[in-house]
Amino acid sequence: MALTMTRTRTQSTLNKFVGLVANINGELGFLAELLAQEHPEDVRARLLARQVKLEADKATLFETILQFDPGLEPGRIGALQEWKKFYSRGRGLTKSALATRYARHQL
Amino acid sequence: MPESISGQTRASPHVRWLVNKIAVVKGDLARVDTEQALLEARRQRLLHALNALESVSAQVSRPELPAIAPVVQAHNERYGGRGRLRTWIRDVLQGIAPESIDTFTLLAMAEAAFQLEFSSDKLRQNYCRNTLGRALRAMLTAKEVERLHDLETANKPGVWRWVGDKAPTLAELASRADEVESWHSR
Repeated sequence: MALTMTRTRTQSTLNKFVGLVANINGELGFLAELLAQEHPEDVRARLLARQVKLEADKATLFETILQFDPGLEPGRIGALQEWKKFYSRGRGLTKSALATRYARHQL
Repeated sequence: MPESISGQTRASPHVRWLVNKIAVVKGDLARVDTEQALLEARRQRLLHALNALESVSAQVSRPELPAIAPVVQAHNERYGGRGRLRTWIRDVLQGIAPESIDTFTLLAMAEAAFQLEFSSDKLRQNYCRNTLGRALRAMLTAKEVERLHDLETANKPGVWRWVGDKAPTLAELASRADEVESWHSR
């Protein structure tokens, strides 16, 4: 197919959605590690709520991606860690510092 | 119910009429139910898709999109892309030229080619008249096909034949006139 405006727009959109899924995958992996540790009850509840929201967002993204082409396999998308930028604000944070900031942000 | 000499029961005309009518109405109702169930299933699928799109709009920080997007009767990609139905009709007619084809046969071929399913005869008729008919009439205007049937003849399917670029021009006809003339004088 020629690179028409529609084709280009479709490809960019698909890239965007795949990026969103990859970041959700990255954040979900981080959350799973975090939830394996000890936390006060309220913090744990917030982290669990965040996990539920991310899973729901991922499900709707999967469905949207399948509207492009039912033959796509969104389950094979890997993980990105760009989502961390929001919490580290450009500074390199240690894993524990990031975890503290992340948990606090969910409050 | 009166009994005939042969021992068979014979229902009176009004009873037969009633049974017949009840059967027909039941049949129509069954069709409507099937159609309604198919439409309801489709509605649920579309609502689900819309919910997913709304959620994704919120995820890309544009939650207002569902409210501002207008309603568009989008092109139905039933044939795998825009213009494919007409291309297919063109191929069929070109393939059988100079033979002609009637609309009903074309409908049956389209059903097989595109796996079309109609829940009722009415929808099938609508498809034949509105979709296939419209495409054929547009091709008629474009002088790609010619109409072999009489428009005044009711209850008969249309008959169509490919014309394409095979139709001779006036100049070609004139140039062949001598040829015909010599054949006549033989």
